[in-house]
Amino acid sequence: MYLKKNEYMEKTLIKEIGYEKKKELLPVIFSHTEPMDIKKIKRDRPYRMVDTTIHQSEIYCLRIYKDGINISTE
Amino acid sequence: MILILSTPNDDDTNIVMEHLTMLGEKFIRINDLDLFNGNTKMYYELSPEPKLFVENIFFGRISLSDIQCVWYRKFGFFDKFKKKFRGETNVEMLEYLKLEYTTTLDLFFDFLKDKKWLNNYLKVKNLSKISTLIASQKIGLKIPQTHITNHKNSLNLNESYITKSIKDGTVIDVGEKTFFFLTKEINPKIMARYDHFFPSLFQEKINKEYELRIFHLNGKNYPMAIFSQRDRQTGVDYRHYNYSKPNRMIPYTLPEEIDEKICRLMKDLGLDTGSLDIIKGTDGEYYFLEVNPSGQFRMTALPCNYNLHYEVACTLKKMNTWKKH
Repeated sequence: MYLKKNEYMEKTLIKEIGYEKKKELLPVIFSHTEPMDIKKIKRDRPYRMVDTTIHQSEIYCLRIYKDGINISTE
Repeated sequence: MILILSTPNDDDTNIVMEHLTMLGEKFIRINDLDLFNGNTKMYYELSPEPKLFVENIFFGRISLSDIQCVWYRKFGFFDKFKKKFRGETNVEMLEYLKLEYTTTLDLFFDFLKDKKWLNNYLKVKNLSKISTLIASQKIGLKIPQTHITNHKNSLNLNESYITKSIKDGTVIDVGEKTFFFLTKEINPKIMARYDHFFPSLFQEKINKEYELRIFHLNGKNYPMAIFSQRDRQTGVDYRHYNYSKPNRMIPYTLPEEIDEKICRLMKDLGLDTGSLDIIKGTDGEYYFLEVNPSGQFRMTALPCNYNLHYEVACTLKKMNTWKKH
């Protein structure tokens, strides 16, 4: 049967890690949490690289945001 | 000299640093991760008296005794370090590393304890969702009915509830998929399969007119309204961001009473700065949800033109130049 994208995305964390039979040992949120489509976020994210000397960080400081939302640190 | 305790890729830190440069203030930044991957050297000496030095290619060698004030921005996230061991299944090893990691960072906190802090580390460390809700209730802020239980019989599953982490949310990667622990609405069908479960937090689901994100800085609130209620994706939690069609966000004026209560709450919690989440219910009430002392504030600053990074930089400048007479 062909699954629409949303139906595919609805596989919860507890199913994904295979703990359905031990669900009582985990908080309820495990059976309500679904994966986030981060591929889409990565595809859409605008960014710029900043001067690392000013920011004193060896890792490129990516200014990754869209409409004021910082996607990189969420 | 100002010390910024941060983490790589925190862009709020970057923008504040740009302002501090413009303001001519001397500052250094230490990223938590850099202490563990060798990018920033550290040296702690106990005798004859404790001394702590840090060194990297950006600021050279600095004694932390020379620090005047500390901005505790985001410091101590083990997850970023843990990613270097992706796929590691030895739980004991990871637990050991986490404990050593936290204890090393505690050395920094302890060494700097007598400095001026923008958000004192002890206040941040002692903060919990539950104690914050109790404190807000005490000063008269309304909160959603909140339960922590390990049994479904304690809940009325004909009512709508949401669930979220008792402490902090996290991100779990399983294969190619990424699971964010945000606020989720309870599905009664799923709950029917449970008898008992690991203790979990439940809150009554408030019907929202809109959500508020408020940045607080030293007794002043900067509120923003988020119209998240009509989008199915963001309806329960605006952090399930809809990037294709983002929620509308606008500056907001709080009723005076709520404004004062938030300031009082932050004072009671001992926090100088933080981001608060509040729901304006369709019943006209304001429901306090939580406060995040190190939450990102660009999401409030940019849509509302609040220039918060400059305000934070000015606060740090004031703390750095203030002298006892």
